[in-house]
Amino acid sequence: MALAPHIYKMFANIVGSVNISDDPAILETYTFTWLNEFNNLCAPGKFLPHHPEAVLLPGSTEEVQAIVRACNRYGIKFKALSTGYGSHSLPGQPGVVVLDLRRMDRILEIDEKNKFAVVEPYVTWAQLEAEVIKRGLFTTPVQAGSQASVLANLTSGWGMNTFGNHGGHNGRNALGIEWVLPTGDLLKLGPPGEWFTGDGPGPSLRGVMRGHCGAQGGMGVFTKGAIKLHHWPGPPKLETEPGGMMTAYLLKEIPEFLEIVAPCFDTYEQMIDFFYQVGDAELAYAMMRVGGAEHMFSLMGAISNKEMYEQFYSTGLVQAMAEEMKHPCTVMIFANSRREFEYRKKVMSEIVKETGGKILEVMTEGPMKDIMMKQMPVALFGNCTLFIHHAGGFVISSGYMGTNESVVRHMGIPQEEIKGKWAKSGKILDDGADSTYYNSFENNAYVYMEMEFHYDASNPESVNASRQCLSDERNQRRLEKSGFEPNDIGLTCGDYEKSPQQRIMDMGPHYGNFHLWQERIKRAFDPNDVSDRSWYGAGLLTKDVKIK
Amino acid sequence: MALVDYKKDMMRCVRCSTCKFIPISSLLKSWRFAQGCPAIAKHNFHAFSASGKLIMALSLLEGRIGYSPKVIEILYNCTLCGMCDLSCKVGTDQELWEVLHEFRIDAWQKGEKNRLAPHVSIVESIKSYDNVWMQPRRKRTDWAKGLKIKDLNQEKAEVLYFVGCTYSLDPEMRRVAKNTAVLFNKAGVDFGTLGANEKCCASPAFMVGDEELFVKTATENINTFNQLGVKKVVTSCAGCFGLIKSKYPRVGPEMKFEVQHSIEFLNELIKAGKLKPSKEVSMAITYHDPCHLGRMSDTRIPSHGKEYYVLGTMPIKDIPKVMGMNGIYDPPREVLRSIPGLKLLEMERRREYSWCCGSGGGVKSAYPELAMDTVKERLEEARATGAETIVSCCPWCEKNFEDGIRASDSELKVVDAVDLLIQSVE
Ligand SMILES: Cc1cc2nc3c(=O)[nH]c(=O)nc-3n(C[C@H](O)[C@H](O)[C@H](O)COP(=O)(O)OP(=O)(O)OC[C@H]3O[C@@H](n4cnc5c(N)ncnc54)[C@H](O)[C@@H]3O)c2cc1C
Ligand code: SF4
Ligand code: SF4
Repeated sequence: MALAPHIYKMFANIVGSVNISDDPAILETYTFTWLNEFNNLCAPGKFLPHHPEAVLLPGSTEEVQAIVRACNRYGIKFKALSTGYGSHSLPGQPGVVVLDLRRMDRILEIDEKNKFAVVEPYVTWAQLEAEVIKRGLFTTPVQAGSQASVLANLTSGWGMNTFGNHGGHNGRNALGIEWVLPTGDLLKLGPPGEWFTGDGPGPSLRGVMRGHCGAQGGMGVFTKGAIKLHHWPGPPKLETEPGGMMTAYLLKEIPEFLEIVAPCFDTYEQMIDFFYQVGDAELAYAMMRVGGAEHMFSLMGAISNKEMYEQFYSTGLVQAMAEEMKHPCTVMIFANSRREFEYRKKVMSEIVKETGGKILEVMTEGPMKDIMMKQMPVALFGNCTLFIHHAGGFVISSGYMGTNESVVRHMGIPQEEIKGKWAKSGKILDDGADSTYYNSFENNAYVYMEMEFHYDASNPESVNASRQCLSDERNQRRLEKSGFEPNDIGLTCGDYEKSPQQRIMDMGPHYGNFHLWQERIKRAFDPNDVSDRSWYGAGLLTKDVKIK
Repeated sequence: MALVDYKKDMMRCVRCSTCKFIPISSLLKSWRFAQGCPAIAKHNFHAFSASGKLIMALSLLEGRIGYSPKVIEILYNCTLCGMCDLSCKVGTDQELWEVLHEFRIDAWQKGEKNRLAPHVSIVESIKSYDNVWMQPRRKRTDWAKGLKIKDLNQEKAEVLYFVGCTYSLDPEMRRVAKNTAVLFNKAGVDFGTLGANEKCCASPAFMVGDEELFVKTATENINTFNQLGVKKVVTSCAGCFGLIKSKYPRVGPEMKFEVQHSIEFLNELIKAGKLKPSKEVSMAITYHDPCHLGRMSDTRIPSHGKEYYVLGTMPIKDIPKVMGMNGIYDPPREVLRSIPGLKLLEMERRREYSWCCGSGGGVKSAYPELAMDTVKERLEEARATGAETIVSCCPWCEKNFEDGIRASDSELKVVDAVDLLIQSVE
């Protein structure tokens, strides 16, 4: 159902007639995104079953407020998106107008001394990184890619990131935030006129704003926000040049005090020990476990699938690595001075030895040597999301965040067996990887783990096999870890065959009935229920449930 | 050849938005000059990005939408500059540019209502006059009056100088052809032209999707060049160069000649000591990489959806992956650096990830506002280098720069690289 002409006109008066459209061709492009073919809302196709009513491109906080107020007045639902990567960024129900925040793209302030930057929703990680690196600072880009929105990640969705080991989770890097509430009122988190913190006197609203996973568009619109920045020991510019076997671009010069160390471990216990010790010694700039040989390549991108196949699979290199490397870790050491650098390397080497780690020759000699030193940093700093899409599709299973022990206890099942079965069927990518991604935060104060693999989004059989593989994986976990309900972290992850709301309902009872608390908050903040709640709370399914 | 061949590429788009930007943080140098795609930079709705057009194409194939004035507006509000293709290919093997082009062929073939009036008139001009400017054929030789140039309709030479419609027919641009011929003569090059018999390269037909006219003209041109027995076809127009070098091979007949842009050829002459830039030209300049001399001149072989799988589901397209890295980037810079007194200041977006001037893909004629906004952005980037002059090697870029400078009261000047070289050569 299209918007009534007078309502369309009213919106056009707010944003200007060139910044609104209800043309079917334009709307069509707001029904398609990553994982749609997986998602209950769309499967098995790529398109949502419903169109938004219109797409609006507001250019300021005032325009956003005016739109939201109008939505309240006329009972129209809205959904805000920043760069829009993932099913969660699209309307989850019919009758919604989309606020594409693309025109709000300024970096408003970089406070070098106090180490924070204030950004609008469409500032990307790459843009922020380019500006702060010049000032000796760094940020915490997420694997969603350097083209994704900083503010969306801070406020509305997740926050796990490659540099979390020294930079922390982005939920904790969110400082002062400007928030257009679902009623259209403006709320500023943190002291008036200040951005250095998201808390002021009184109870903290940061938890209400995002909690663990963010409200994913269900709690109004965030229009400005400050992000904590971190120290950058490197040069003011990272120059790259074409070349290399895998990534299209190589680091021209390796920063003086940077090194990548890649030990592997026979058991989870050894690996955890390693993570703890490196954390205690505050040694690593970035630190993760990647699920085996191929997955590491996917961090680095590929000049072409053909070349990757010929150079790494046909030669048996990957198979050799997969054979020898269990629990492969990647650690970035990045120091300010030669002395500090030598110290960090020395202590790291001691810890590797002490925890039973092995640094395999295959990683330090031959083709891998250059890849580790010149290409891996480009991939890590450059953070191109497309590096993970070389089979045309990439999906993550349930994820879990906690201490090393709790994460391994809940998640540490032999994933390679489950995945192996499907990989052998030829319907998902048989890359030789165990597919476990494990990322450390705040010097290992907590970690995050997920399983991920690659499929072909253009092939329904492959999509189906991936769904079944994920289902196997969840069931296996449920079986082995009785009482544990996976899928804690990502509302787009895991039980794809269920609607997002159903997933929330299923998880809620296992996690303190968070869904009911969210629902209370939702009703208090959004009395007219206009901020599209499809990915938040439990309201769509608990309409008749009385929540006191 | 059909749009449906690329359905898998459309379905594999993840809508990540990388195609809107200069890819990966280490290529991108600032917040200000981070954009890569002129179309989305102006119009903002996702539909205008390359991903948006892929989604629309898929939707069309699935019968969810049909051709409409809006679809055509979106499709042709795109300079076909190819930046999106590079950005996406930093991490995938996906075909983007080929899809955008095939989409235009499909639209053009599906009926006259899909054809924009300015494009129809250019195509008609090529058909009737063999040039894009509706000029009589005989005028093609006006620029060469008084110059000693072989007529290859009568004589043999090693090099065919393919002048191009704009350099031979646009009174303001003829000087570039003239300066080039003067330099060739100075260097003792054995060259000639086809005079009034030169035919348009058919780039505009190719760009707007008139595949029939493109194939016909390209085939005729290849046959003519082969018959001349020349070793090289040299052109000063980046548009002609990009098309002949990178797109003619897909037409079929074997090309028995090398294709060069005149700036490459002049660079070789300087290196061989046949031209000696010695007079000082004191100026701070910046160099603009034209899309069709740069990333779009890298020879592209379309996959037409052909692929096979390895490792279960990893698609292999058995064609070279083209990321524009083999474009002509160093020769113009080397020529400029060989001129004493010139100070070359680089823009942030350069070489294969240069920002388009805004003129290509039929945009200048059909959507001048997009052409204008895009060129203003480039002028701003040029100004930020501190340069006083912007140098290019393409008539379309130069003309659009002139328009942009006039419209924005900019103090910048625009010249062709050959204008500077001739000042310096004794
Ligand atoms: C392949 C892939 C990998 C990913 N990896 C990670 C990862 O490692 N770590 C991580 O934290 N996340 C990850 N994500 C999730 C997510 O894409 C990121 O959190 C990203 O930073 C969000 O930015 P975006 O521009 O894509 O947001 P969008 O997709 O535009 O929005 C994300 C959500 O936030 C809402 N939203 C966006 N902006 C606003 C706003 N201004 N006001 C109110 N609501 C808003 C949207 O409605 C949507 O629900 C990944 C996603 C993909 C597709
Ligand atoms: S076309 Fe490529 S770069 Fe653009 S959104 Fe799709 S996958 Fe990403
Ligand atoms: S070809 Fe150029 S203008 Fe067209 S979508 Fe790609 S980047 Fe944008």
